[in-house]
Amino acid sequence: MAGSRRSREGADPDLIEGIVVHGDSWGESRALDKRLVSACLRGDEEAWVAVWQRYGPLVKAVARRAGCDAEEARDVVQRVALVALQSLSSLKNPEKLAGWLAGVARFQSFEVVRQRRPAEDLDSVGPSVDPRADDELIREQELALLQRAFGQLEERCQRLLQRLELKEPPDSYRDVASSEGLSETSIGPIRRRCMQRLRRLVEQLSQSAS
Amino acid sequence: MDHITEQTIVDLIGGGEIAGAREHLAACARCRKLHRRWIERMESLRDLHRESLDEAELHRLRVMYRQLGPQPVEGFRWAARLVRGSAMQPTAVRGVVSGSITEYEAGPYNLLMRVGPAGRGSTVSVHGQLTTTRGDAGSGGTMALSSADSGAYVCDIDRFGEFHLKGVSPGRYRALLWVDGGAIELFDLSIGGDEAR
Repeated sequence: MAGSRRSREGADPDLIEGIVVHGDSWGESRALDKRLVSACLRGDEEAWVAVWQRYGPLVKAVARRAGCDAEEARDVVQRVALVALQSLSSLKNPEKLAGWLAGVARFQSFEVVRQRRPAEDLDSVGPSVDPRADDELIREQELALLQRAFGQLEERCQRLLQRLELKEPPDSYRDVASSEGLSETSIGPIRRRCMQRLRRLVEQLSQSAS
Repeated sequence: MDHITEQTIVDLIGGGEIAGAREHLAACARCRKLHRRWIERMESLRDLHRESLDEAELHRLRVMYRQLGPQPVEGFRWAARLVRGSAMQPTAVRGVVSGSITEYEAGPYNLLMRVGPAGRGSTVSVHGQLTTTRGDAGSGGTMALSSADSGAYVCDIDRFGEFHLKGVSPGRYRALLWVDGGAIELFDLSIGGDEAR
Protein backbone atom coordinates (compact mmCIF):
# COMPACT_ATOMS: atom_id res chain seq x y z
CA MET A 1 0.00 0.00 0.00
CA ALA A 2 1.12 3.49 -0.70
CA GLY A 3 1.05 4.33 2.97
CA SER A 4 3.45 1.56 3.82
CA ARG A 5 5.98 2.80 1.32
CA ARG A 6 5.75 6.28 2.76
CA SER A 7 6.41 4.91 6.17
CA ARG A 8 9.69 3.28 5.31
CA GLU A 9 10.92 6.37 3.58
CA GLY A 10 9.48 8.93 5.94
CA ALA A 11 9.78 7.65 9.51
CA ASP A 12 10.01 10.37 12.09
CA PRO A 13 13.30 9.72 13.92
CA ASP A 14 12.62 12.32 16.61
CA LEU A 15 9.31 10.74 17.39
CA ILE A 16 10.75 7.27 17.58
CA GLU A 17 13.71 8.33 19.67
CA GLY A 18 11.40 10.17 22.02
CA ILE A 19 9.39 7.07 22.58
CA VAL A 20 11.99 4.40 22.81
CA VAL A 21 14.90 6.10 24.44
CA HIS A 22 13.68 8.77 26.75
CA GLY A 23 11.41 8.81 29.73
CA ASP A 24 8.68 11.36 29.18
CA SER A 25 6.33 13.44 31.22
CA TRP A 26 2.68 12.52 31.57
CA GLY A 27 1.42 15.11 29.12
CA GLU A 28 4.19 14.27 26.66
CA SER A 29 3.45 10.59 27.03
CA ARG A 30 -0.20 11.06 26.13
CA ALA A 31 0.77 13.34 23.27
CA LEU A 32 3.31 10.79 22.06
CA ASP A 33 0.70 8.05 22.03
CA LYS A 34 -1.51 10.30 19.99
CA ARG A 35 1.34 11.07 17.60
CA LEU A 36 2.19 7.39 17.39
CA VAL A 37 -1.33 6.48 16.37
CA SER A 38 -1.38 9.30 13.88
CA ALA A 39 1.98 8.22 12.45
CA CYS A 40 0.80 4.61 12.19
CA LEU A 41 -2.22 5.78 10.22
CA ARG A 42 0.06 7.75 7.89
CA GLY A 43 1.94 4.56 7.15
CA ASP A 44 4.94 5.10 9.40
CA GLU A 45 6.24 1.59 9.94
CA GLU A 46 8.75 2.64 12.59
CA ALA A 47 5.97 4.21 14.63
CA TRP A 48 4.12 0.91 14.43
CA VAL A 49 7.18 -0.93 15.71
CA ALA A 50 7.59 1.67 18.45
CA VAL A 51 4.03 1.01 19.59
CA TRP A 52 4.92 -2.64 20.06
CA GLN A 53 8.24 -2.00 21.72
CA ARG A 54 6.39 0.26 24.09
CA TYR A 55 3.24 -1.75 24.70
CA GLY A 56 4.04 -5.32 23.64
CA PRO A 57 5.14 -6.23 27.18
CA LEU A 58 1.88 -4.82 28.50
CA VAL A 59 -0.15 -6.94 26.09
CA LYS A 60 1.84 -10.02 27.03
CA ALA A 61 1.49 -9.33 30.74
CA VAL A 62 -2.28 -9.05 30.35
CA ALA A 63 -2.31 -12.33 28.42
CA ARG A 64 -0.22 -14.15 31.02
CA ARG A 65 -2.45 -12.81 33.76
CA ALA A 66 -5.47 -14.16 31.89
CA GLY A 67 -3.98 -17.65 31.94
CA CYS A 68 -2.14 -17.79 28.61
CA ASP A 69 1.18 -19.59 28.41
CA ALA A 70 4.21 -17.98 26.75
CA GLU A 71 3.31 -19.18 23.24
CA GLU A 72 -0.28 -18.11 23.62
CA ALA A 73 0.85 -14.70 24.85
CA ARG A 74 2.84 -14.31 21.60
CA ASP A 75 -0.29 -15.27 19.74
CA VAL A 76 -2.28 -12.65 21.65
CA VAL A 77 0.21 -9.95 20.62
CA GLN A 78 -0.38 -10.80 16.95
CA ARG A 79 -4.14 -10.87 17.42
CA VAL A 80 -4.14 -7.51 19.19
CA ALA A 81 -1.94 -6.09 16.43
CA LEU A 82 -4.45 -7.20 13.82
CA VAL A 83 -7.30 -5.62 15.74
CA ALA A 84 -5.21 -2.47 16.11
CA LEU A 85 -4.56 -2.32 12.38
CA GLN A 86 -8.27 -2.53 11.82
CA SER A 87 -9.30 -0.10 14.51
CA LEU A 88 -6.65 2.57 14.98
CA SER A 89 -8.35 4.96 12.60
CA SER A 90 -11.54 4.86 14.62
CA LEU A 91 -9.90 5.12 18.02
CA LYS A 92 -11.76 7.89 19.85
CA ASN A 93 -9.00 8.68 22.33
CA PRO A 94 -5.66 7.79 20.75
CA GLU A 95 -3.88 9.34 23.73
CA LYS A 96 -5.30 6.44 25.76
CA LEU A 97 -3.70 3.84 23.53
CA ALA A 98 -2.21 1.84 26.41
CA GLY A 99 -5.52 1.27 28.14
CA TRP A 100 -7.20 0.43 24.86
CA LEU A 101 -4.53 -2.14 23.98
CA ALA A 102 -4.83 -3.66 27.44
CA GLY A 103 -8.58 -4.02 26.99
CA VAL A 104 -8.23 -5.64 23.56
CA ALA A 105 -5.50 -7.92 24.93
CA ARG A 106 -7.78 -9.04 27.68
CA PHE A 107 -10.56 -9.96 25.29
CA GLN A 108 -8.20 -11.72 22.89
CA SER A 109 -6.64 -13.62 25.77
CA PHE A 110 -10.09 -14.79 26.74
CA GLU A 111 -10.61 -16.03 23.19
CA VAL A 112 -7.31 -17.88 23.16
CA VAL A 113 -8.00 -19.56 26.48
CA ARG A 114 -11.56 -20.38 25.42
CA GLN A 115 -10.33 -22.04 22.21
CA ARG A 116 -7.78 -24.04 24.10
CA ARG A 117 -10.20 -25.42 26.66
CA PRO A 118 -13.06 -27.80 25.99
CA ALA A 119 -16.45 -26.12 26.21
CA GLU A 120 -17.37 -27.94 29.39
CA ASP A 121 -14.36 -26.47 31.13
CA LEU A 122 -15.35 -22.88 30.46
CA ASP A 123 -16.79 -22.45 33.91
CA SER A 124 -13.43 -23.31 35.36
CA VAL A 125 -11.70 -20.60 33.36
CA GLY A 126 -12.75 -18.33 36.17
CA PRO A 127 -13.37 -14.65 36.45
CA SER A 128 -9.84 -13.65 35.48
CA VAL A 129 -10.62 -14.11 31.79
CA ASP A 130 -14.29 -13.24 31.85
CA PRO A 131 -14.51 -10.14 29.67
CA ARG A 132 -17.37 -8.88 31.78
CA ALA A 133 -15.46 -8.88 35.03
CA ASP A 134 -15.15 -5.22 35.91
CA ASP A 135 -12.55 -5.77 38.60
CA GLU A 136 -10.23 -7.42 36.13
CA LEU A 137 -10.82 -4.67 33.62
CA ILE A 138 -9.78 -2.14 36.21
CA ARG A 139 -6.67 -4.20 36.97
CA GLU A 140 -5.64 -4.23 33.33
CA GLN A 141 -6.21 -0.51 33.04
CA GLU A 142 -4.06 -0.09 36.12
CA LEU A 143 -1.37 -2.24 34.54
CA ALA A 144 -1.31 0.19 31.62
CA LEU A 145 -1.20 3.09 34.04
CA LEU A 146 1.69 1.57 35.98
CA GLN A 147 3.66 1.05 32.82
CA ARG A 148 3.16 4.68 31.91
CA ALA A 149 4.13 5.84 35.39
CA PHE A 150 7.26 3.75 35.45
CA GLY A 151 8.20 4.95 31.98
CA GLN A 152 8.03 8.53 33.14
CA LEU A 153 10.52 8.09 35.96
CA GLU A 154 14.00 9.46 35.41
CA GLU A 155 16.29 6.92 33.83
CA ARG A 156 18.31 6.48 37.01
CA CYS A 157 15.16 5.78 39.03
CA GLN A 158 14.04 3.27 36.42
CA ARG A 159 17.40 1.52 36.61
CA LEU A 160 17.43 1.45 40.40
CA LEU A 161 13.88 0.23 40.81
CA GLN A 162 14.42 -2.28 38.05
CA ARG A 163 17.37 -3.74 39.92
CA LEU A 164 16.08 -3.41 43.48
CA GLU A 165 12.32 -3.88 43.19
CA LEU A 166 11.54 -5.66 39.95
CA LYS A 167 14.45 -7.99 39.34
CA GLU A 168 14.17 -11.45 40.83
CA PRO A 169 16.24 -11.82 42.91
CA PRO A 170 17.12 -8.15 43.37
CA ASP A 171 20.68 -6.91 43.09
CA SER A 172 22.54 -5.99 46.25
CA TYR A 173 22.97 -2.37 47.33
CA ARG A 174 26.70 -2.88 46.94
CA ASP A 175 26.41 -3.94 43.27
CA VAL A 176 24.00 -1.14 42.46
CA ALA A 177 26.18 1.45 44.21
CA SER A 178 29.23 0.23 42.35
CA SER A 179 27.68 0.36 38.89
CA GLU A 180 25.92 3.69 39.51
CA GLY A 181 28.99 5.34 41.01
CA LEU A 182 27.19 6.02 44.28
CA SER A 183 27.94 5.27 47.89
CA GLU A 184 26.23 2.21 49.28
CA THR A 185 24.56 4.24 52.03
CA SER A 186 22.91 6.53 49.49
CA ILE A 187 21.09 3.71 47.69
CA GLY A 188 18.37 3.25 50.34
CA PRO A 189 17.31 6.92 50.39
CA ILE A 190 17.44 7.15 46.58
CA ARG A 191 15.38 4.01 46.31
CA ARG A 192 12.74 5.51 48.60
CA ARG A 193 12.74 8.79 46.68
CA CYS A 194 12.21 6.88 43.44
CA MET A 195 9.34 4.97 45.01
CA GLN A 196 7.80 8.27 46.10
CA ARG A 197 8.13 9.63 42.57
CA LEU A 198 6.44 6.53 41.30
CA ARG A 199 3.65 7.01 43.84
CA ARG A 200 3.13 10.61 42.76
CA LEU A 201 3.05 9.64 39.09
CA VAL A 202 0.54 6.88 39.77
CA GLU A 203 -1.60 9.35 41.70
CA GLN A 204 -1.33 11.91 38.92
CA LEU A 205 -2.17 9.42 36.20
CA SER A 206 -5.06 7.98 38.19
CA GLN A 207 -6.57 11.43 38.56
CA SER A 208 -6.13 12.16 34.87
CA ALA A 209 -7.66 8.82 33.93
CA SER A 210 -10.70 9.41 36.10
CA MET B 1 -7.16 6.36 64.83
CA ASP B 2 -4.70 8.44 62.82
CA HIS B 3 -3.79 6.61 59.66
CA ILE B 4 -0.30 6.46 58.25
CA THR B 5 0.15 8.24 54.94
CA GLU B 6 0.42 6.56 51.56
CA GLN B 7 3.90 8.05 51.40
CA THR B 8 4.83 6.09 54.53
CA ILE B 9 3.34 2.92 53.08
CA VAL B 10 5.39 3.33 49.91
CA ASP B 11 8.45 4.05 52.05
CA LEU B 12 7.93 0.73 53.79
CA ILE B 13 7.71 -1.06 50.47
CA GLY B 14 10.82 0.77 49.31
CA GLY B 15 12.80 -0.62 52.21
CA GLY B 16 12.33 2.15 54.74
CA GLU B 17 11.62 1.61 58.41
CA ILE B 18 9.36 4.21 60.02
CA ALA B 19 8.82 4.04 63.74
CA GLY B 20 5.42 2.61 64.61
CA ALA B 21 4.36 2.14 60.98
CA ARG B 22 4.39 -1.64 60.95
CA GLU B 23 2.57 -1.80 64.27
CA HIS B 24 -0.07 0.49 62.82
CA LEU B 25 -0.43 -1.71 59.74
CA ALA B 26 -0.99 -4.73 61.94
CA ALA B 27 -3.85 -2.94 63.70
CA CYS B 28 -5.47 -0.99 60.86
CA ALA B 29 -7.43 -2.76 58.11
CA ARG B 30 -7.71 0.40 55.98
CA CYS B 31 -3.96 0.95 55.86
CA ARG B 32 -3.31 -2.76 55.34
CA LYS B 33 -5.55 -2.60 52.28
CA LEU B 34 -3.59 0.31 50.87
CA HIS B 35 -0.32 -1.47 51.68
CA ARG B 36 -1.63 -4.59 49.89
CA ARG B 37 -2.56 -2.49 46.88
CA TRP B 38 0.97 -1.18 46.58
CA ILE B 39 2.41 -4.65 46.92
CA GLU B 40 0.13 -5.73 44.07
CA ARG B 41 1.21 -2.75 42.02
CA MET B 42 4.85 -3.70 42.40
CA GLU B 43 3.97 -7.26 41.46
CA SER B 44 2.22 -5.92 38.36
CA LEU B 45 5.35 -4.00 37.43
CA ARG B 46 7.36 -7.20 37.84
CA ASP B 47 4.90 -8.93 35.49
CA LEU B 48 5.50 -6.18 32.94
CA HIS B 49 9.25 -6.37 33.25
CA ARG B 50 9.28 -10.11 32.78
CA GLU B 51 7.76 -9.71 29.33
CA SER B 52 9.34 -8.46 26.14
CA LEU B 53 9.01 -8.90 22.40
CA ASP B 54 11.88 -10.62 20.65
CA GLU B 55 13.22 -9.72 17.21
CA ALA B 56 11.19 -12.40 15.47
CA GLU B 57 7.96 -11.08 16.96
CA LEU B 58 8.76 -7.53 15.95
CA HIS B 59 9.62 -8.71 12.46
CA ARG B 60 6.26 -10.42 12.12
CA LEU B 61 4.54 -7.25 13.29
CA ARG B 62 6.46 -5.29 10.65
CA VAL B 63 5.41 -7.74 7.97
CA MET B 64 1.82 -7.55 9.10
CA TYR B 65 1.91 -3.77 8.94
CA ARG B 66 3.48 -3.71 5.50
CA GLN B 67 0.86 -6.05 4.17
CA LEU B 68 -2.27 -4.96 5.96
CA GLY B 69 -1.64 -1.42 7.21
CA PRO B 70 -2.22 1.38 7.39
CA GLN B 71 -5.75 1.54 6.04
CA PRO B 72 -8.45 -0.50 7.74
CA VAL B 73 -9.81 -3.02 5.32
CA GLU B 74 -13.50 -3.00 4.64
CA GLY B 75 -15.06 -6.21 5.75
CA PHE B 76 -11.85 -7.29 7.42
CA ARG B 77 -12.25 -10.02 9.97
CA TRP B 78 -9.27 -11.28 11.82
CA ALA B 79 -9.17 -14.93 12.57
CA ALA B 80 -6.85 -17.78 13.09
CA ARG B 81 -3.77 -18.39 15.02
CA LEU B 82 -0.68 -16.66 13.85
CA VAL B 83 2.83 -16.78 12.95
CA ARG B 84 5.70 -18.98 13.78
CA GLY B 85 7.86 -18.15 10.79
CA SER B 86 8.61 -20.61 8.03
CA ALA B 87 9.79 -20.81 4.45
CA MET B 88 7.48 -20.49 1.49
CA GLN B 89 7.85 -21.44 -2.13
CA PRO B 90 7.11 -18.51 -4.44
CA THR B 91 4.14 -19.25 -6.63
CA ALA B 92 3.37 -17.75 -9.99
CA VAL B 93 -0.31 -17.31 -10.55
CA ARG B 94 -2.28 -16.82 -13.67
CA GLY B 95 -5.64 -18.36 -14.44
CA VAL B 96 -5.89 -21.70 -12.75
CA VAL B 97 -3.31 -21.78 -10.06
CA SER B 98 -1.63 -24.48 -8.19
CA GLY B 99 1.17 -23.90 -5.77
CA SER B 100 2.66 -25.82 -2.95
CA ILE B 101 3.94 -24.70 0.38
CA THR B 102 6.73 -26.67 1.83
CA GLU B 103 8.88 -26.53 4.95
CA TYR B 104 5.87 -25.45 6.84
CA GLU B 105 6.17 -26.15 10.50
CA ALA B 106 2.68 -27.57 10.93
CA GLY B 107 3.40 -29.95 8.07
CA PRO B 108 3.37 -29.49 4.29
CA TYR B 109 0.31 -27.97 2.72
CA ASN B 110 -0.93 -27.55 -0.81
CA LEU B 111 -2.67 -24.44 -1.90
CA LEU B 112 -4.98 -24.55 -4.90
CA MET B 113 -6.29 -21.29 -6.27
CA ARG B 114 -8.73 -20.61 -9.07
CA VAL B 115 -9.25 -17.17 -10.50
CA GLY B 116 -12.56 -16.51 -12.17
CA PRO B 117 -14.82 -13.72 -13.31
CA ALA B 118 -16.59 -11.76 -10.63
CA GLY B 119 -19.19 -10.15 -12.87
CA ARG B 120 -18.42 -6.65 -11.73
CA GLY B 121 -16.24 -4.46 -13.92
CA SER B 122 -12.78 -5.86 -14.53
CA THR B 123 -12.51 -7.53 -11.16
CA VAL B 124 -12.10 -11.23 -10.62
CA SER B 125 -12.91 -13.69 -7.89
CA VAL B 126 -10.32 -15.88 -6.29
CA HIS B 127 -11.38 -19.21 -4.88
CA GLY B 128 -9.06 -21.64 -3.27
CA GLN B 129 -8.54 -24.56 -1.02
CA LEU B 130 -5.81 -25.34 1.39
CA THR B 131 -5.15 -29.02 1.88
CA THR B 132 -2.48 -31.11 3.44
CA THR B 133 -0.34 -33.16 1.09
CA ARG B 134 -2.37 -36.17 2.23
CA GLY B 135 -5.45 -34.47 0.82
CA ASP B 136 -7.03 -33.49 4.12
CA ALA B 137 -8.65 -30.10 4.35
CA GLY B 138 -6.52 -27.47 6.06
CA SER B 139 -8.90 -26.28 8.70
CA GLY B 140 -9.39 -22.65 9.55
CA GLY B 141 -7.28 -19.61 8.93
CA THR B 142 -7.18 -16.37 7.04
CA MET B 143 -6.23 -15.51 3.48
CA ALA B 144 -5.25 -12.02 2.43
CA LEU B 145 -4.09 -10.44 -0.80
CA SER B 146 -2.59 -6.99 -0.70
CA SER B 147 -1.01 -4.68 -3.20
CA ALA B 148 0.22 -1.11 -3.33
CA ASP B 149 -2.33 -0.25 -5.98
CA SER B 150 -5.44 -2.13 -5.02
CA GLY B 151 -5.39 -2.30 -1.25
CA ALA B 152 -6.08 -5.50 0.60
CA TYR B 153 -8.62 -8.30 0.38
CA VAL B 154 -9.07 -10.54 3.35
CA CYS B 155 -11.25 -13.56 4.02
CA ASP B 156 -11.50 -16.48 6.38
CA ILE B 157 -10.48 -19.96 5.35
CA ASP B 158 -13.36 -22.17 6.40
CA ARG B 159 -13.21 -25.51 8.15
CA PHE B 160 -13.04 -27.29 4.81
CA GLY B 161 -9.95 -25.28 3.92
CA GLU B 162 -11.83 -23.21 1.35
CA PHE B 163 -11.75 -19.47 0.84
CA HIS B 164 -13.38 -17.03 -1.56
CA LEU B 165 -12.31 -13.50 -2.40
CA LYS B 166 -14.52 -11.43 -4.65
CA GLY B 167 -14.05 -8.16 -6.48
CA VAL B 168 -10.27 -8.49 -6.71
CA SER B 169 -8.66 -6.12 -9.20
CA PRO B 170 -6.11 -7.74 -11.52
CA GLY B 171 -2.53 -7.03 -10.60
CA ARG B 172 0.43 -8.15 -8.56
CA TYR B 173 -0.22 -9.10 -4.97
CA ARG B 174 1.55 -10.21 -1.89
CA ALA B 175 -0.48 -13.08 -0.45
CA LEU B 176 -0.59 -13.87 3.23
CA LEU B 177 -1.83 -17.09 4.68
CA TRP B 178 -2.43 -17.63 8.32
CA VAL B 179 -3.16 -21.23 8.98
CA ASP B 180 -4.35 -23.16 11.94
CA GLY B 181 -1.34 -24.44 13.77
CA GLY B 182 0.24 -21.05 13.85
CA ALA B 183 2.09 -20.08 10.72
CA ILE B 184 2.03 -17.09 8.48
CA GLU B 185 3.10 -17.56 4.89
CA LEU B 186 3.96 -14.90 2.37
CA PHE B 187 4.26 -15.21 -1.34
CA ASP B 188 3.95 -13.03 -4.39
CA LEU B 189 1.56 -13.71 -7.21
CA SER B 190 0.02 -11.97 -10.14
CA ILE B 191 -3.61 -12.19 -11.01
CA GLY B 192 -4.19 -11.54 -14.69
CA GLY B 193 -7.04 -9.55 -16.16
CA ASP B 194 -7.96 -12.11 -18.76
CA GLU B 195 -10.14 -14.09 -16.39
CA ALA B 196 -12.54 -11.18 -16.05
CA ARG B 197 -15.42 -10.91 -18.39
